Amino acid sequence: MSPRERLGALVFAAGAAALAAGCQPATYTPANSVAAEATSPWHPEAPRPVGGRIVFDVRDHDFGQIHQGDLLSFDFPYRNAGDAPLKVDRVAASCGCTAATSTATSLGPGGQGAVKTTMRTKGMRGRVSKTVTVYSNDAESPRTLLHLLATVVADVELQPRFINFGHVRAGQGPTDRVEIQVAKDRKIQILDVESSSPHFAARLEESDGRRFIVVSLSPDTPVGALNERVTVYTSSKQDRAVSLSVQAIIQGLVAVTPVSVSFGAIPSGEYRTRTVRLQHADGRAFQVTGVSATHPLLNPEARPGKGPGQFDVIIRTVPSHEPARLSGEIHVRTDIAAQPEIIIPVFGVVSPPTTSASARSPGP
Amino acid sequence: MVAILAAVLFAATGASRSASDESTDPKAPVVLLFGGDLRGRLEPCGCSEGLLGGLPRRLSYARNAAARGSVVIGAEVGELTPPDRLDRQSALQAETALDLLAAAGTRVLAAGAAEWTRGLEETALQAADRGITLIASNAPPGSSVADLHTVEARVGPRTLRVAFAAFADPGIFGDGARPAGLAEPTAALSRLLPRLRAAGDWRVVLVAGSLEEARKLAAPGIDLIVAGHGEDLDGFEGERVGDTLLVTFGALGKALGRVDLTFPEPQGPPIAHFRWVPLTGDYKDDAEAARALDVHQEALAAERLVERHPKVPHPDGRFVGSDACASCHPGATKRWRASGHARAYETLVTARRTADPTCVACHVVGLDFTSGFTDPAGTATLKGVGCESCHGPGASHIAMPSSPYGPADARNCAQCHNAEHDRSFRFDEAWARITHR
Repeated sequence: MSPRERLGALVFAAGAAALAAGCQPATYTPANSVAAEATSPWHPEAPRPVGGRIVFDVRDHDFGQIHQGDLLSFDFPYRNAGDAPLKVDRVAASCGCTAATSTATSLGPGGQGAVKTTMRTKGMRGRVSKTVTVYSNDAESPRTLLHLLATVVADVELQPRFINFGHVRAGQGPTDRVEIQVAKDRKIQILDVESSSPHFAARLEESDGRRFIVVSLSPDTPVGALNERVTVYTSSKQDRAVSLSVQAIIQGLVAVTPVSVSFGAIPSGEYRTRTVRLQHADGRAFQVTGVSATHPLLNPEARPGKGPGQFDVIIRTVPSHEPARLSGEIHVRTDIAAQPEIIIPVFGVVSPPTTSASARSPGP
Repeated sequence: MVAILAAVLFAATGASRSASDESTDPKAPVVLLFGGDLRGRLEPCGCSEGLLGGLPRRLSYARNAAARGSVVIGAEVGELTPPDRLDRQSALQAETALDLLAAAGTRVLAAGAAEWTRGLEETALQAADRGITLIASNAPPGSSVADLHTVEARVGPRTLRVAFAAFADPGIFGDGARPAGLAEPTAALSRLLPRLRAAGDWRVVLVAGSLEEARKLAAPGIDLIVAGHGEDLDGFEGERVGDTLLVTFGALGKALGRVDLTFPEPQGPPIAHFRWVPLTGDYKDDAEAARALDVHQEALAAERLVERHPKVPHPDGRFVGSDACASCHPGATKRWRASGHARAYETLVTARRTADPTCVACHVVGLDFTSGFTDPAGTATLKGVGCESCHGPGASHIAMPSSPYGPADARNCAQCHNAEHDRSFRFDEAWARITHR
C-alpha cells in the first residue's frame, strides 16, 4: 500500500468530530489536514523516513492589478529538503488559461528547481485565482497547491456585460443601461455606439461623471426571442470594439413558456411528454378553443393551469417504430381577440434503438 | 430529529482515476453523482485528443455504476448553459443537457445564474418533464419553484431519504445582474434548516457558487455541501467543515464528484466516500447520448443558427476572402492551401458539426462579423481558417496595399488553439509549419 493510499484509508469519526469543530483551512494536501496528521502512520511522535521532500518558500503569488490580455509569468522555486531523490511526477493547472511546467523531474537531496507558470488573462476580469497542482513523491505532501492571483482590469469594461430584458410584453419599450468603465490609468475615448438591430436603439449618456450605454427596446419588436448586440467603439488599442449582448423574449398578451419545444432523440417505440405554459399577462381568464399539431406524431392537449389565466399545453409524442423527424408546430387557438392563435415550434427525431443495453428512458 | 452523521470517510484513491477504478471499487449501495457548471459544453471539442468531459461519457459512467447494482442519484449544480446567453443555441443546449442528465439518473437541478437568467419557471417545466426537480432555496417567498426535494433510495430493508436544498450565491451574477428577491444563502438556509433536517436522513446542500462561498453554509445537520463553481482541482479529496463534508468537481463537466454511501450498520447512518472522477476517454461515449447529440445538431441546423448568428461590424473593416489575397501573395497562398487551416471547414463536415456556431467560429473567417462567414454557399471564400482569420479584414489593405496590415502572433492562434480545444498545441512547432513570409 502506498503512503498515499494509507493516507486515503483514514476514517474520521465525525461524531467525535469535536476534534476539529469549525472550519478547516482550504488546503487540500493531506499533510495540511489536521485529521490526516492525527491518524497518519507517520504521526509526528513516531520515527519515520523522510524520503524526498518538496519545499516551496512561496506557494501563492499575487500579480496585483494587471491589464486584461497580459501574459503573466511567475516561477515558484522549490528545493528537495529530504534525504532521498525527489521526483516531480506531474504539474497540472486548474485552467486552460494557465501553463505550468517543472524545470526538473528528479532532484537529489538539496537540489533546487522551479515550477514555471504562465497565465493568459484574455477574457478574464476582476479578481481571479488559478491553481497549479504539483504531484511528487513527497510522502507527506504528494500534492502541493500553488496559487496565482491577479486583479484583471480591462481598458474598457461594461458593467454588467449584458442586458437581459427578460420576458417583455409586446408593445412595451423598456429601457436599460450599462456603465462603461475605463481603466483609470488609460486615456481612452468612447467614440461611438452601434446597435445590430432595428428593434432597439443604443446611445451614450453621461451622468454624474459616469458614462452609460442606454438601450431602448422598440415597442414594435415582434414576438419571439431577441438576441442582438451593441458595439461600443473606443480609442483603446486593446478594446477597440467592445460588444454588449442584448437579449429579450417578446411575449404576446399570453406569455408562452418555453417558446419552443425540443423532444431530442426519441428511441423507437417510446414516447415523450413536454409541457408549455400559457399565462395571460394580466392574469385574466381566457379559453383555449382548440389545439392541433402539424405532425401526426404530435398529440397536444390543453389543460387549465393552477393559477388564474393559465393553461398548460401537454404535448405527447405518439410512439413510432419507424424513424421520423418531428419538425412541426402546435397551434393553440384562444378566445383572445388580440391573440387568437399561438404557435409553438417543435423539433425531435425518432431514432432507431441504440446498442446501449442498460438504457433507461429519460421520460416521459 | 435525524441523528447527525456519525462517520465520514474520505477515500483518497491515488492519482490514477481511470475506468478501471469504477469496475474495481467496492460496490456502494448508493452512489451520488454530482456535476454542474456545464455552460453548454455538451461534449468536449472533437479537434484534439485527451480532452475531458462530455455528457456521453457521463451517461456511460452513470449507467456503469447502476449496472453494478448501485442506486445512482445524480444532482446537477447550475449553469446548464452560459449564464449571459438567452439565445436559441443555449435554449437547445439546456434541453439536450436535461435529456442526457435525466438518462444519467439526475434527479435534482440547483438553479444557477443561467437558470435564473432564463427564468426559473421555464427550467422547472423542462426539468419536470424529464423527472428532474429544479430547486432554488433562496428564491423570493411565493416562488413556485421547490426550495427542497427529497429523493428516496431503497437500501436493503430500509429506505434512505436524501434531502436536497440548493442556493445560488449572489456573487455569481455580476454587478447589476443580481435577480430581484434573491436572498442571501446563509439567511435562507437558516430559515430552511429545520425543514431540511426533517426532510431527509442525509442532507445535501448544493451551491451554485465557489468552494469558498459554499464553505460558509456548513452547519450541524448538513452532511454534504457541493460547490458547483469549483476550479479544476484534479484529485481534490474533499474538506471537512465540522461534521459537514465539502466537495466540488471543477468546471465545464470535465469531472464528476462521486460520493459513495455505505452502511456498516443496517439501520445506522451511512459512511460517505468522496472521489473526484475526471471523465477521461477511458469512459466510452454512451451510444444513446451520442445519438442525442447528433439530433441536437439537427435541431441547430433546423433553426439555421449559423446563418442567424448575431454579427457586429469589425473595427478594421470588411473581410474579402482568401482568394483575394492570392494574386499578390502567391507563395503564401500556395503554402496556406496545403495547410490544415485551408481544409478546416471540411473537418467540420466530416464531424457533422457545421450547424453548431460554437464549432464553426474556429473553422471559418469572421463568423462574429457582418462581412464574415454566413453559410458555405453564400460566403464560400470564407470557409476554412483563411488569411483574414489571423491577419484581420483585408479590404482596407487591398485598397491601400502600402498601409500596415495584420501582424499575427501567438495571440491569434490562442483564440482557437487553447487548452479547451487543443491540448497538444505547441506554438513554436505550429508556427514553423504555417509560416509563409
